[in-house]
Amino acid sequence: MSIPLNLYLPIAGNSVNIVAILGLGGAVGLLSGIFGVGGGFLMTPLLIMLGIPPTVAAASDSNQIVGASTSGTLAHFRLGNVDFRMGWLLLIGGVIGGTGGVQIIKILRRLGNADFLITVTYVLMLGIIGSYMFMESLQAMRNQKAQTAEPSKQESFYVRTTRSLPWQMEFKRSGVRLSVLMPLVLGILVGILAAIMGVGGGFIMVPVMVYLLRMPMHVVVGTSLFQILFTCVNVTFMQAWENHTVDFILALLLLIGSSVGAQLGARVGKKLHGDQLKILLASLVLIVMFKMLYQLLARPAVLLAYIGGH
Amino acid sequence: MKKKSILFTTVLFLFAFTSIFAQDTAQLSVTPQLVEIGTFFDGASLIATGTVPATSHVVVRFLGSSCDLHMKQKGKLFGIMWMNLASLIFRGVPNVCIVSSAKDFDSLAEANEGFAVNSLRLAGIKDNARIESNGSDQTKAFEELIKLKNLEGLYLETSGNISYGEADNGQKSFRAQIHVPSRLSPGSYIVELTALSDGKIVARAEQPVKVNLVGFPALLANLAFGHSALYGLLATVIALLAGLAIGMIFDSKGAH
Repeated sequence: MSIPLNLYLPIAGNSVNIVAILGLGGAVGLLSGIFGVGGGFLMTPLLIMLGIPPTVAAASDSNQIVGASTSGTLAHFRLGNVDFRMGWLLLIGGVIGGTGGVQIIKILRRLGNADFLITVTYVLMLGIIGSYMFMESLQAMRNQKAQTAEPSKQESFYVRTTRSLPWQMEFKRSGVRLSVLMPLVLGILVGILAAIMGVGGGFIMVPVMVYLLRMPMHVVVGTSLFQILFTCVNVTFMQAWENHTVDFILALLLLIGSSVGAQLGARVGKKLHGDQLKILLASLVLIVMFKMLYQLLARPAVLLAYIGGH
Repeated sequence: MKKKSILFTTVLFLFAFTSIFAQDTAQLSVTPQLVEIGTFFDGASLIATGTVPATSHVVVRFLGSSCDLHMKQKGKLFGIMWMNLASLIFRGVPNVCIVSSAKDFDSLAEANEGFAVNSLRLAGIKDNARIESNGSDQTKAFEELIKLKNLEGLYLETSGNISYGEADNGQKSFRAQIHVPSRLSPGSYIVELTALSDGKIVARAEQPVKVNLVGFPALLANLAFGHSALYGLLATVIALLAGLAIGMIFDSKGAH
């Protein structure tokens, strides 16, 4: 008796190879575990490459991130690494942004431009983050001379701007004083991106918290996970309700794969050098970016697309 | 007046009789007549058997219901990026069309300038369809539609998957295997048999095939499309519980 390897996904309207999806989840989870960053920004384009309609890939990935971030949030909550005040403000912003993002996708799907927007957003985000990480890790590997001069200039300008904002508030767990508007607006921006791209926003939120909100790293990780979890709960629900694009069987398969991969990756990551890992990840992100860019610039195999998703 | 009426009725009767007789020269049966899309569905094979005139060649088509497709035609934006530009509506195109022939289509098309054969091929879909567009090249658009549907596995032309039995009393048996893809929507389909001789259609027959979602996919589709709020709630709750369970299994500290 042979084991069936294909599973029919009625939301995607196609069957997928279970091993391929588990393998994809495992591979992205492995990278997640090794590098300590989110796999969402890699997962959605890889799902699209496997033939899942882009809107279903993005929405199901959000669903997968709900599961993946749950265990992480719980662990960090136990360690006291969650700044709830900051987290709630980011979350409120994230919910507003996520809801807006779903509406944007809905309108764009009617116009037939949702897939184009997802691709362009990916190219931009992957390009910016990949280049930044690459440059930063390259600098760190050579020396750290260039790094010290640049942030100090930015700091004085940045501090002046943030201090001039109204409704300043103390965030004790993070040890910072900021305007309430800062986490709210940044939360909205990350929420919109999460809805459009189907990512938890972790790889955007972490640099935002470190460089813009000036939070300590251990609190950043816990608070980011807390915010991502709730943002993705909202995005998953809205995508399922409004757009019917969530395939939670696909999400569960990815979750199983990514959880196992993340555990293995965490063990592998400990044995490798940090800067080497960062530059490898940056290269990977840039490869995915160039692939997506190629899709935008090269003549498509077919010059027709359905209106309204798949 | 009465004589004319009788004559007309007689002609009509004779015409109907000869049509029935012509239809009767091809027999078709299809198994299974119900395709069930279950959890592990990965396409299905239909077997079409029957008899046709001994000198004819068989073309079998698996056809979906006629539908209107609202699409966008891709073009270059600012001369650099490819994106959806012109709007198109294809009216009256089948959602699935799988054409199988015993001989390759080009050799079938030799006689009678290939009119009959070409009308059965994918390019023939255009004859019964209509394109509404705001200025795009309609012939090219139709070629692109066939290309897109071909990539999805929903428009296909295959030859050589039909075998014949021995001829007997001017008839011969045939057996065709039609593979239908996993990307099949639930609904009503037909298997259509056409017998061609000297480039002309000499006999026709068809059988209905029903495609249904069953079991878990049916339950899931019903939930997702019929009770989307409940489905969204379940999807998030199940993912939360799965995350907790996996976290407990691995005693995870979680990467994000």
